[in-house]
Amino acid sequence: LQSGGIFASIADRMTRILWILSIAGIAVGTVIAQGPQGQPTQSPASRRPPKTVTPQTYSKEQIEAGELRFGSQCGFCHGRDAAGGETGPDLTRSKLVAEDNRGDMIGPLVRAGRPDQGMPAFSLSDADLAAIVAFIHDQKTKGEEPGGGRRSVDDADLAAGDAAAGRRYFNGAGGCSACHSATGDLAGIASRYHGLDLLQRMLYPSGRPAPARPKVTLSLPPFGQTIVAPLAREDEFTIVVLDPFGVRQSYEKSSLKFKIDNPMSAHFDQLAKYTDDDMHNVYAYLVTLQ
Amino acid sequence: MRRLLLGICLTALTYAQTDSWLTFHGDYSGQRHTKLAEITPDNVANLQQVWRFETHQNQQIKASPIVAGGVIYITTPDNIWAVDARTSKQLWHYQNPPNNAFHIGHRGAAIYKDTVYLTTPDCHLVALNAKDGKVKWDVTLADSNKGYWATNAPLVVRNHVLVGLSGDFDNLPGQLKSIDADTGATQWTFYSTPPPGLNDKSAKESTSGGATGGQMWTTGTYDPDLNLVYDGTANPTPVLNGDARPGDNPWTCAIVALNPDTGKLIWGFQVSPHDWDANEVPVLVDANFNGQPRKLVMQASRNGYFFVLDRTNGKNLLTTPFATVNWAKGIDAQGRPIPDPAKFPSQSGVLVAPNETGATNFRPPSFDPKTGLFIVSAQDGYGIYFFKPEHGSYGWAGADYGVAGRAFLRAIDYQTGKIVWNHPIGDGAGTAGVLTTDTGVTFSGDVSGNVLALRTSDGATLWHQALGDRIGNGPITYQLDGRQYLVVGVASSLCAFALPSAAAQIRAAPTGAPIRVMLLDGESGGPYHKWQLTTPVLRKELEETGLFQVDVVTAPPAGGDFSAFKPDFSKYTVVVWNYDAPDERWPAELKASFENYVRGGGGFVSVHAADNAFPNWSAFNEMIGVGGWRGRTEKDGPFWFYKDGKPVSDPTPGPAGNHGQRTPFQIVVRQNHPITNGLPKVWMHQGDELYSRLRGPGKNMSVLATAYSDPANNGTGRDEPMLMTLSYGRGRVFHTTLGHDINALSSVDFVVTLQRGTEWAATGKVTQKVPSDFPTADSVSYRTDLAAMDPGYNRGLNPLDASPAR
Repeated sequence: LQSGGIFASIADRMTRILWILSIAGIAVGTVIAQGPQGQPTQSPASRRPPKTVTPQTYSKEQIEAGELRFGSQCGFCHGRDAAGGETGPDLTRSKLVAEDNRGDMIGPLVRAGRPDQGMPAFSLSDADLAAIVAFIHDQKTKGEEPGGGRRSVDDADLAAGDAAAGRRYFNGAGGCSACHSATGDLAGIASRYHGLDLLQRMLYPSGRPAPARPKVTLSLPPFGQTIVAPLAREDEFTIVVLDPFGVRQSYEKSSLKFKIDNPMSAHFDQLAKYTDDDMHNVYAYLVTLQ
Repeated sequence: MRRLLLGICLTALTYAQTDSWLTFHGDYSGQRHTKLAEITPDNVANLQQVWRFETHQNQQIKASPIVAGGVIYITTPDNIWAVDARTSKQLWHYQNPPNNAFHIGHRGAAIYKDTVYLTTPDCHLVALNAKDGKVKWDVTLADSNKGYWATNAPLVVRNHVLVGLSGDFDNLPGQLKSIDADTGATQWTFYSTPPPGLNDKSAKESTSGGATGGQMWTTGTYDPDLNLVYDGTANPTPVLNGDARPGDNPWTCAIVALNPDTGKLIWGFQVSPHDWDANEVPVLVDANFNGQPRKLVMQASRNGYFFVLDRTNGKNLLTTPFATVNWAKGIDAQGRPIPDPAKFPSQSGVLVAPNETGATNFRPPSFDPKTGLFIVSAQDGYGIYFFKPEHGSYGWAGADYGVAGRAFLRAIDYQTGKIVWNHPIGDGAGTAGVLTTDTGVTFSGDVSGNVLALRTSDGATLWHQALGDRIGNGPITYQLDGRQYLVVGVASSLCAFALPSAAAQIRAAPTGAPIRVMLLDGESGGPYHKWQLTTPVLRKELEETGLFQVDVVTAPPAGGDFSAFKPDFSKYTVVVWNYDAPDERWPAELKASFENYVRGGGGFVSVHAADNAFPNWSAFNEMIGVGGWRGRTEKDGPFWFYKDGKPVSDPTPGPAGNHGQRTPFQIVVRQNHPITNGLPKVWMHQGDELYSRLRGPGKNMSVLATAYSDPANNGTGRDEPMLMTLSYGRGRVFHTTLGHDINALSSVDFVVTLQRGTEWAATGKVTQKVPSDFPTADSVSYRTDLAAMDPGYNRGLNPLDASPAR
């Protein structure tokens, strides 16, 4: 900095504070905007399978080209029929696909990938991408017709449990109530998630919106300042936390004292304890929390 | 080289060669254990990255490289490259024509005499000349339109190239084909389930219970004495509809022993009667079992059980779980887990351990003969499995979803199945295989992108290095010119590590004479550059390497007497400038003295605002290449920056020098150079001034790294030069624009590039390792010990510190 003198660092600090305020302001604004309408995930489009928002048609040639490209690039994870595979979800029941119009949402997602969910970025030509989009929409249209759609789980399939037994397990043997409450954090959970989505989140919260990050308490040398920050990443050697700007700050574990409070550990441990009946019962109980 | 390739023969493969890695497993045993002894538990922490080969494909490397005659052959789907094993220089690249078969991954090539064999997603086997990559022949193994694809690294036994196929989404029999190594003719085909021609329904049911599948997609092992090939077979199809295929479904989910000359089954053992994939490596070991010398085959299977069999006859000696399992209700008299029908996929779903990714997978394990430990990348994981009649009986026929997993490197005592040690490597499942050395080191990787060296006896960490991405294959090793290399696949590239060469070790030794460094300070362009505070930080950073002996030389202040200021540059190998003064400050003879010093071979390092100094001293501006402020304009040279990935010089008029607020930003490496070698391609730098609009002569200048100057933060929208090297006469110059204040100086990347840049300016080489806390593409990393040298630090220098205590 060539002008501004000794006040430069103060000016920087002021900017940072302004940024914090503006980030907070955006967050507040969003909450207000959503408040009167309730949760945005409760739009009619969230019914399974969600209906295509903007009807669109594609040429037979493009769909056929898309089938080939989809098969080779996407099929292993999403199934060659786009109805779900080893690791990828059923795209014919995807909300994003339903809301996509000629690739405006699918395109950017395919190009950027979803590294946090194991989907790599794909560099495809515009023509290939358009063909893949055509094929996905065509499969979705077919899936909306009776008899379509394989390898998927309907909400009704999961209705095998006893809600009362689930409630007893939740408040008793399962120990769920140590962290959760039917009238607190889980109030209305079944109106936010349902079916397989609800079951998966119950077993091990993940996906979007992402569960809260574990909290880390760090003690920084040499003065021993204590910092509490959300955990961004951790391995055997390094701990990465988010600073107030959302920038990741990395620390060598060997150089400081730290404590991680990870509520997900209890979810993982629970997987070894559930019987299949317990799992279905707790699910049935959560379904009652409308 | 030619002779060496021709020398590849049966005996060479019985034990791992030292100068090569001749099969997917290195040898026929599948032990992935090397006799090479240069890397030991004592020196492994000195490993340095020596090269990185980037394939520029968006496919992760899952293949084990083949190394023969000083050449590495590495594959991704549809691609194979031959690269020099010492330098990673590309020798040739072959690309299969585009096709629409599954591109899920590729396990590697095979080599025999002077031919390299590549399987392709569309089920071709291509024979290539090892020397130049020219196609010798190309045969079709199966019809990929029917749902077959190929990822397989073939196993060569004499003139038999044994190739397996994949295909889970259609009801297809598993096959292993023997292809004539010279002609490409099919010698025999082994079907693990009834072949397509067998139309008699009852015959089909009596053999496999009506199941298809049992694909053979991984690379087997071979015992030359017994003349038996051991291979794993995959799950049956329909995959999740067990009702459609009653019984055990041989030979799916099995270890099979085949005669490589005829393809005849000698014996088979089902590790998961009725379900699961069993393609994991059948590792061959000759060792005592219960006091008897035995010929053993061992497998840590995807289903979560560890098996030891007598490989002469397939009789079971040990079955024990090595990961969390809940799908079996016991072990039968033959040593096979008994599937629990309550855990068969159901309409409402069952919670099953392991999940589909498995307790382990194709990532290869290693057997260490000295400790008797079988070391495997294991996962304790759960999935939910569904099937209802509407799902039908074709292909997957059901649905399953992984729930969660925890990944470990796990050491199993082969005689008891007991877990001797368990090293956590993160959440989910690991992706790296395992390599052990005779000296007692275990190499693998974690899920966070670190390469790991563990002590084989107890699993303690000896060394690690962040690679920026996960290892996706099995590590390999070889020795050339007396130097042992460790090679791992990281995302789409191969990385090689080795101990510093003998010469480098001598130079870096603390007993060697230190490099003499003059650290010049005494003035800055304003009080915001507090040289009195930053010089001690720079000094500490240089001295802690043990390479440098630093003398601080402080020039007289503005208005001071320069008549007695005659620093003897010639006593120093390199001069580091933490100094910025106007043209009139230095007398002509002082300027001439510094010019002569650099021109004659002296090293010069310019830190941050030193490139503001002396706008009209032309020799100085040639040394720094670009500079800013103090009235610099188009008369001093063009702007230098990167645009669309290419270097640009732009003569547009305008003042030189600009920056925005001090926020963290990403730095991108643009050139391979000793200073940047081993650094990630992209990293985050701590909050600092990002200099832009620098101009100057730019002569003999290489831009090593740039950063994007964001218009939202008073930037140019260009990639601005951050780190540069230049030559002036015989002198080497390292120019870093980074380092505004102690906050910036404490950023680990600043420390590392200053240390390396100074060594390079002094010697032309860099012998320093990259520390493990080097920042990654999305995380800054700074040193609290350095940051604390700022008097303001305990009031909150880092944004985290500034946040109110919560």
